[in-house]
Formats: sequence, structure tokens, C-alpha cells
Amino acid sequence: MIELYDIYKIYKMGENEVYALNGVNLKINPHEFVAIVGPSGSGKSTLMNIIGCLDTPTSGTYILDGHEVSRLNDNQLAEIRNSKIGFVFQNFNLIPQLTALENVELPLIYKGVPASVRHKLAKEALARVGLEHHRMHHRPRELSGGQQQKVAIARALVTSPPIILADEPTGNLDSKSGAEIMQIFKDLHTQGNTIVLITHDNNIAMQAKRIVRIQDGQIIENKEVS
Amino acid sequence: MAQFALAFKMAIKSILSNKLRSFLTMLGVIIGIWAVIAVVGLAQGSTKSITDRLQRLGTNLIQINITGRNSNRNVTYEELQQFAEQHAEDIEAIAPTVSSSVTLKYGTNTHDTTLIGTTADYSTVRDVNVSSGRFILPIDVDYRQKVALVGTYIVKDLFNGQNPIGKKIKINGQIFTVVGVLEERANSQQQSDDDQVIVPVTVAQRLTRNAIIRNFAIKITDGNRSEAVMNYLNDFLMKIYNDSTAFRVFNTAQLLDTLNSVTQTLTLMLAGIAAISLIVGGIGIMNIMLVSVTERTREIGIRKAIGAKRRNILIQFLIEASVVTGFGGVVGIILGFVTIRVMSKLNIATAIFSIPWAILAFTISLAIGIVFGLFPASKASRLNPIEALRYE
Repeated sequence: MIELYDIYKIYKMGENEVYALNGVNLKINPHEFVAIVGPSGSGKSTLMNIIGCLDTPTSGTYILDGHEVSRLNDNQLAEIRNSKIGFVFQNFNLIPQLTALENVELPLIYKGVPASVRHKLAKEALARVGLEHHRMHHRPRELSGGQQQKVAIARALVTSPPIILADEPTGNLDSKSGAEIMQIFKDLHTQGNTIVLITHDNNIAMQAKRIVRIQDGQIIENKEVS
Repeated sequence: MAQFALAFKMAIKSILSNKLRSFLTMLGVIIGIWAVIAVVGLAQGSTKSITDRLQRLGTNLIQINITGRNSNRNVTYEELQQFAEQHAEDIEAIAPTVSSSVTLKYGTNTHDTTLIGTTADYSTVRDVNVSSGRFILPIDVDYRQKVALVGTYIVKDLFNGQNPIGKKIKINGQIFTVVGVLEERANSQQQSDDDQVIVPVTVAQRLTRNAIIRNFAIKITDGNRSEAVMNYLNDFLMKIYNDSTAFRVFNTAQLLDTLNSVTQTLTLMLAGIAAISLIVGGIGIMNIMLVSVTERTREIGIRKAIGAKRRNILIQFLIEASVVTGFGGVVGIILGFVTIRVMSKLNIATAIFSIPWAILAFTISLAIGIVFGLFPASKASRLNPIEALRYE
């Protein structure tokens, strides 16, 4: 569960103060599939960084899974990101020197999971996103965009985080791979995962169960999709 | 612990993914360690060969060196000989030595070497024997016979390996007859014990125009009595010279001490110079690491996003740096080892591969990685994940 109360994020640009987030209140329940939509510069990236615990708000309260996380230090935030958030990025962000399997194992390494358990969990996660078994030991550059994004989703899943945070996950994919990736998210949602999707594309957003529209750092619309 | 093993594996991967750069980065450390190992090996090798020669003299040897120039009265060989006979229980033999650099000539061949003028007792005192022919006899000394004994290197160089006994040679223009060949003692190397010519002391005095004999070698019967004998020799000489700076009485142990302290200083100095190249290598590593941190900004961002703490990133980069330098160190040690072997094989110089120094060199190369990797690694660990992820 995500609870955001009165979140402000203010950047100082010389003399001026820029309100990237201007009093955001938002609640996302477990097992929801929410799309956060807005044009570039709307503050949706800032919101994603705060939800993803990459950044802390200037003021306001963020309660993630019952714990207040708005005032944590670097190391504590890293731990939260490791165990509570699964990131999926537009450009996949896999580490090029590591194989698909090793990329998926990486969050478990930082969590301190022993090797045998790690291999098992990573293989299970790759199976869930439907990456062919023989591609497990390929490097990212030997995989197609769709396959890379599958690996990235497996990496987000592997620690069983309460929230999967996807930032324009289909932005760099052709429409066929994009549809495939969206299907994986829908399946994951059916299996009970909480998914927060950030996008500027209304067609993608329409596939979620709820749409939160953001503009100028404020939520302007919050509606269920029928 | 598991984290270290993984970081190590990761380090190997990223080193292998850019082989040329990793090699160039290592080069500074390789050359530095190579130089340290080779230089220390050379220094220790030459120290050992000098030490060995001194030790071969044994602890039973005492030397007297007359340094005074202006004294009106000098100790003579006869006086010392008499003194030795009075102390026959301690002193086995005493031999005067006059040494000088000379040029030998045989036919058209010439050869520069060391001449030693002495008596028959030199054979006992310095444990020098002939492999063929005979040593100097008392009669040669008494009647100033122009006879000479030559070392094996001279046989090789001047006589082209032919048997020299009975041959006439010129020493500084005077004709001598070769009567013996000395036993080989140092592999027939140039400027070793095998590169010398021995003649009767009385002849040497005339040849070098030296009326005063300044060096005497004394062999004592018991090495443990060395101090006592030196003491009464000192007393005896004091009575003649009345000046403690006019002569010196010493044994090989003292000589070894002096030599060791000199070579130790020399070794440290040379190793210090070689260490400068290690520092230069370290700066090279820092430079490359900084480039690598910038290049891998996005990777650092990804790692942080999925839960890497500052500490994880710091350790990863430190291990990468020390794997590079440690590997460079190993390569340098191997090259140093090969250099030493080749130099010894080709008789260029005596060099010894020192295992303690190799271990020290390896430790230093690891330390260089850690010291010079620390700044780039801490820079990497402090990157802001949001900006790092946005980095193209």
C-alpha cells in the first residue's frame, strides 16, 4: 500500500523555486493496477522517483507498506528499494557485462541471499515472464528489446516486492513486443501484484484499472477504468 | 564474505570486458614491480657474491693494514714473523701482501689484472692452492726469483686455454716464468679470485717500487680467540707506531658488518627509485578509474536503484582496482623472476630472486589499488541514483 499525504517537491533554480510536486495526495491499495499519466514536465517523473524511494519529498508524508519513508537516509532508502520496489525502466537498464540470469540475481545479491536460493528464485522469475530457458545465459546485447524488457521485469519480480514500478516500459519497443510486455503486466496483476505504470500514452494507460492524471505537479484526475 | 567473492567475480568480468585498457592500466604497476624485483635481486646477488668471497676467507683470518704515511719507523715482515713465532699457540701463519694493478703480456696478448706479492705462507693463510705446478717457495722470496702463478681466468684469456707452465710472460715489462696455476675458486670469472697473478713479495716490492709492506694476513688457530689476538696485535703495533690511526687490525666479521650496512642502504635506495614508478602507476590507475566511474555512471545508477548501498559500490570499485594492480603485481614479479634468471644464466650479473621481496611487492601492488582506487570508488558510491540513471 502506498499513501502519499500533501507531498511537495521544490527545486531551487537560482532565485526561483520550482514546484515539481505541488501538494499531491494519493493512495494506492495492494493488488491495484494504476497508471500515472501526464505530459513531460508534469511532475510524473518526480512522483515516480519519490514513490520509488530514489528521492525524498521536500515536505509531506509518504507511507509505504505501513512504514514512513519520507525521512530516511541513503542506506535505509537503498534497503527499501531492494525489498519493497521492483523497477522497470523504459530503456531496460540491464548491466551489459552480466548475463540475463546474473542481472536477475543482482537484487538478491544485495539482499544477501545465498547462491543456491538465488539461482532458484532468478530462474523462477525468468520463467514467470516467459523468457525462453536457453536465453538465460545470454548478455543483454544478444537479446531483442522485448526479451530485455522481460529480463528487467523478472529482475523487478525476483525479490517479491509489494510494488512494481514501471516507467514507460513499452516506450522503446515495437507495438508487438509492447503488447506482449503489457500482457505480462496484466498477468502479474491477475496473480496479485501491485503495479504502478508511469506513461504519457493514453492507450497504454487505458489498459490499467485506474488512471491518475497529473499536470503541473498536481493530480487533476483520478478515475477507475471500466 | 560471499559479497567479496561476487565483487571479485564482477571485477574480473569488467576487466576482461576491456582488455586493452586493463593492460595499459596495469603497465605502470607491472614495470614498477618488475623494476623493484630486478633491482633488489641484483643488489642482493652482488652482496651475496662479495659476502661469499669474504666468508671463504673464514673467521680465522685477521688482517693488518698500515695506513700511516709519515712515521719514521715501520713494522717489518721480520718483526711480525718473530712476533708470530712467539705466539705460535694462536698464530698459525702470517703472510705479507703487496698488491697492485699490472698489465700482463704473452706474445701479442695483453691482459690487465691484479698482482699480489706474497710468501709461501700465503697458501696456508688464504687457503690458496695450485692445481698444477708449484706455489711460491721461500727460496723464490729470498733470491727474488721472477716466477709467477696465474689464475684460471688468465689461463683462459691470456694463454687461450693452453698450459702456461714454463711459459715466459711480461709483467709491466719484466720477464717472469709461470710456475703454477691456481685452483679455480669463482667459475673463472673476470675480476674474481681467478683473475690474479701471484709473485714473490720481494719481487713485487721492486716491481711496484714499494719499500714498505702495508698489508699482512694472519691465520689464527682458533676463530674464538680472534678478539684476544687482535688485542695483543694492537698492543704490539701501538708500541711501534704510538698512534692508533697509523694502522688497522680487523677480521672478516667486521668487514662483513660494514659491507652489509652499505649494501642495505644501497638496496633501499634503489628500491626507493623503483617505487617512484609504482606511484606513477598508481596515479595512472586513479585516472583510468575516474574515467571508468564516469563511463559506468548508468550502471552505478541501476545498481543503486535495485538496492545497492554506498558500501556495496565502494567495495566493488575498490576490489576492481586492487584486482588490476594485484594482477599487474603478479605479472611484474614473474617478469622480474625471468629477468633475474636470464641475467644469471648469461653471466651478466649475479642476481637472486628474493621471496620476501616478492611477497612485499605483491602486497604493495594491492595497497596501490586500494589507495589510488579509494577516491574514484568513493566518488562512484556518492553518485545520486536519479542523475546516474538519467546519464547517457
